Amino acid sequence: MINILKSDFYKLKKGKAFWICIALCIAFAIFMVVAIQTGMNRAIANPTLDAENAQLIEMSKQASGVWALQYFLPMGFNIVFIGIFVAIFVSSEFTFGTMKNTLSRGADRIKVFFSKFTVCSCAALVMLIAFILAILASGTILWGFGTVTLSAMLNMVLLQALLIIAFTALFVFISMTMRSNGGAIATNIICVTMASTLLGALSMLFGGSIDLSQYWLSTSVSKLATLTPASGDVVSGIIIAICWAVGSILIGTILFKKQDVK
Amino acid sequence: MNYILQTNEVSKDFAGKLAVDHVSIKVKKGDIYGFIGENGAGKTTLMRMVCGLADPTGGEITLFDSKDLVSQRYKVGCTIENPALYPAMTAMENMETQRLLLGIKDKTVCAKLLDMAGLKGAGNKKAKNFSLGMKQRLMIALALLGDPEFLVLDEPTNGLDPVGIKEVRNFLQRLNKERGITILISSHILGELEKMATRYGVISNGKMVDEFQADELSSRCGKNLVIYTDDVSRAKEIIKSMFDDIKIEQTPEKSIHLKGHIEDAGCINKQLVKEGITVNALIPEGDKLEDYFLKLMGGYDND
Repeated sequence: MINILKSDFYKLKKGKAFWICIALCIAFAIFMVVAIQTGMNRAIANPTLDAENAQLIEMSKQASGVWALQYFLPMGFNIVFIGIFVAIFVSSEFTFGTMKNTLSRGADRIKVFFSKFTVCSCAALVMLIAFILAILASGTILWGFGTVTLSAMLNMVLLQALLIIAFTALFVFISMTMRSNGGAIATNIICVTMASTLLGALSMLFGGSIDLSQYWLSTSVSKLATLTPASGDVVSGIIIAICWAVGSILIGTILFKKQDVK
Repeated sequence: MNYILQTNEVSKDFAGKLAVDHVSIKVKKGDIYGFIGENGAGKTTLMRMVCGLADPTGGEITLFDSKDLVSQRYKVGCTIENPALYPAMTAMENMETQRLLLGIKDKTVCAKLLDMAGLKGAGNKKAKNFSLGMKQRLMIALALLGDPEFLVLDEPTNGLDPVGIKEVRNFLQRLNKERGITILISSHILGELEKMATRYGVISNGKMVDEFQADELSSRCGKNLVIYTDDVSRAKEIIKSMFDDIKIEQTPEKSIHLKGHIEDAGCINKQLVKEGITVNALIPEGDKLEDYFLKLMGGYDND
């Protein structure tokens, strides 16, 4: 397992996808902060009565680095980049055929799956931290850091990290199963951007008695991207993250063990 | 340990179609086993099962006298189908990923193997800029990491120029002789295979058709008699009249090819001379591996 991990970390270090996705996470975070600042400035300079302007003016009153973090994290842009990175990192092994080199030398398939999951989780956490730091830094430069206790901040970051790991497990499962870069990238993006809406629509089809979107990871990401989450949301968020992660790993390893590798 | 690889009635089913149908082969220690078959015969599928890339739907595979294949596969180096490389990484980086995977401590081994595979000076070149021949060599170098005792090579000379083919052949023969590495190799270039294989297996439509030692080839191959004369047409008629069941062909090079009848060479010569035909040469010629393979596949009938 250690050798498989060493090899996978080496591939991570040498692969361009990881560094490009980190750079994009940082660039996107800075761009969004600057964009909203520009919007606020325009709204303050030309105060009209429309709702959007009023909202921007209201935002400008509470804007800070910490506020920006709580505002942008629920949007899940960083998760989109994580999804793209995992799809490229994992599916490439199948499109290039290099998975054959690993398996033909006696590497256990479960260990190979876990190694991919571990390396992708580490990469995803680095990307999450880069995204958070970029938002905090650019927000602090423009509006100041804001008021926050260390424990509240740590709590939020750790919950987001748990949800990101669950997302990564799902992305690894999808990429291992689809085995094509394009298909895996598209499916991972759909998971982040559209799954919530699709699950909501599905709930309506079945009478609307249960809102399936409440059990989706993105919903928990939104609910827990705050310094003062409801205790119920924290518990349900943790359970949802564990369930998705364990489910993805379990199904992923079973499928990977059974499938032929070309 | 007599056999490095044994497959016992191994089968592989793809959606109801048997790609490999109860195939049993035995690869002895020190063999260079030439695995022959037409496209889609099941060669690659069997090799993939040996390398752990596909599970057999029936039968049993034994590696190094052990049925615990996962534990034995570190002693097996494989190149299956197209070269499997990270295109954005250099040759050395590709080697390094595999070195780390195999837990090899010696960092110099990658450079040594690249040199050995004829890629000296190409270590810092990205794999995407390699020619197909260079990729094949890099794959062989990758397969050699960890000092494997058994190499499974699926068409390793595919895409190589004649010089490259010869170099790879010499390289594999050297590995076989000097390091005692057993090799299972498939190739469509039967002439090349004939120059190095010590044992052959022929597979067709998923079924094993034949398995024999290299020195048995001559006894299995048909013998022909090639006759060069000054009047080919007349000579052909005369020979036809001499034997009832004769297969005779006139070639564009103005010679006659007789299937068999080696033992009748003297008699044929005597009769032709008697009829006033000058016999320039009478040459016994054996079928090559390619001819034997085509015979097994029914290739002559198709012609």
